[in-house]
Amino acid sequence: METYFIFLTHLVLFLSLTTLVFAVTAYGTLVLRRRRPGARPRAIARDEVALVCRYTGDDHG
Amino acid sequence: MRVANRGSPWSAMQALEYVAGYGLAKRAQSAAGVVSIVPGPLGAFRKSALAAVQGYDGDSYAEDFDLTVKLLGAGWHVVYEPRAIVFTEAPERTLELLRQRYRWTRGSLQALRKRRHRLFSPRRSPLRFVALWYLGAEHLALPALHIGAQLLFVGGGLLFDLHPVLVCWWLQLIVLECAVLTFCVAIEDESPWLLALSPLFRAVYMVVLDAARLLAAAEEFAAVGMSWDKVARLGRLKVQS
Repeated sequence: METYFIFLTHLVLFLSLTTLVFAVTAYGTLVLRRRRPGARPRAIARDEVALVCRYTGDDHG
Repeated sequence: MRVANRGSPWSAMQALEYVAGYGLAKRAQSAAGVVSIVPGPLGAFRKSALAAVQGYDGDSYAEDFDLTVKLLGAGWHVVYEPRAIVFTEAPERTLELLRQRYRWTRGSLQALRKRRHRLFSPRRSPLRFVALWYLGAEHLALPALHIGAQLLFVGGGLLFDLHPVLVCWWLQLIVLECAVLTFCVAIEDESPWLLALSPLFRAVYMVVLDAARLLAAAEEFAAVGMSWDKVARLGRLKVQS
């Protein structure tokens, strides 16, 4: 019974600690990504169809 | 609201989060007519109510919550209709989930801050006064208490040995959560398979979310700049008939 409790204690502690560390690390990554968004534009596949086109004309001035 | 894509652990746990939220909290709030949010994907309003509060403001990052708080503050009742169901797509990756919660947390705090004067006028409508304080607690005090308790638990466990009573207390919280989620899954007529995730729901998912909420709240109070960071839609909706 005592061995079982020791195992349980370690399991609970490990789970709690790793979850907290994971949460803070993930949030840190999010903050860093927000500050430095990917410099490279998204690669466009050869057969990809453009669904949205940015208007570049000058007939609305 | 129901999550349609349940293929990843995060989206499946968000499905469970919605089940818990609508099965318990929203039903309880509905009994008092003070449901905390009319979700963006599906809501029905009286035209006169929307006209009275002049619709969406558009100056916060959680426009649905902002409108709900505005309606509650103006004295309108907000209730939950369990027969109205809409399917939504949940984030499947960690950073997408955090991005979603970041926007929701900061947007909700912005909406509450806009109407902070109502937090100090209990005589106008005591029930709404309590409801607004509850919303503040939900977005600030409860995550702070949750993460504080986790830190105390882990710190105490690392510095001193964990007493078996503490371990039992931790486990009974998980068992209690499983019982509550079972009730919610039954009352919401949801898939019982979701219950397999219920131990991890409290032990991992809610800890990650509350840590993110707390850090996002700190950024909101520090007035860190933000943009409308929409979650990428994957188009993997699989709706059961």
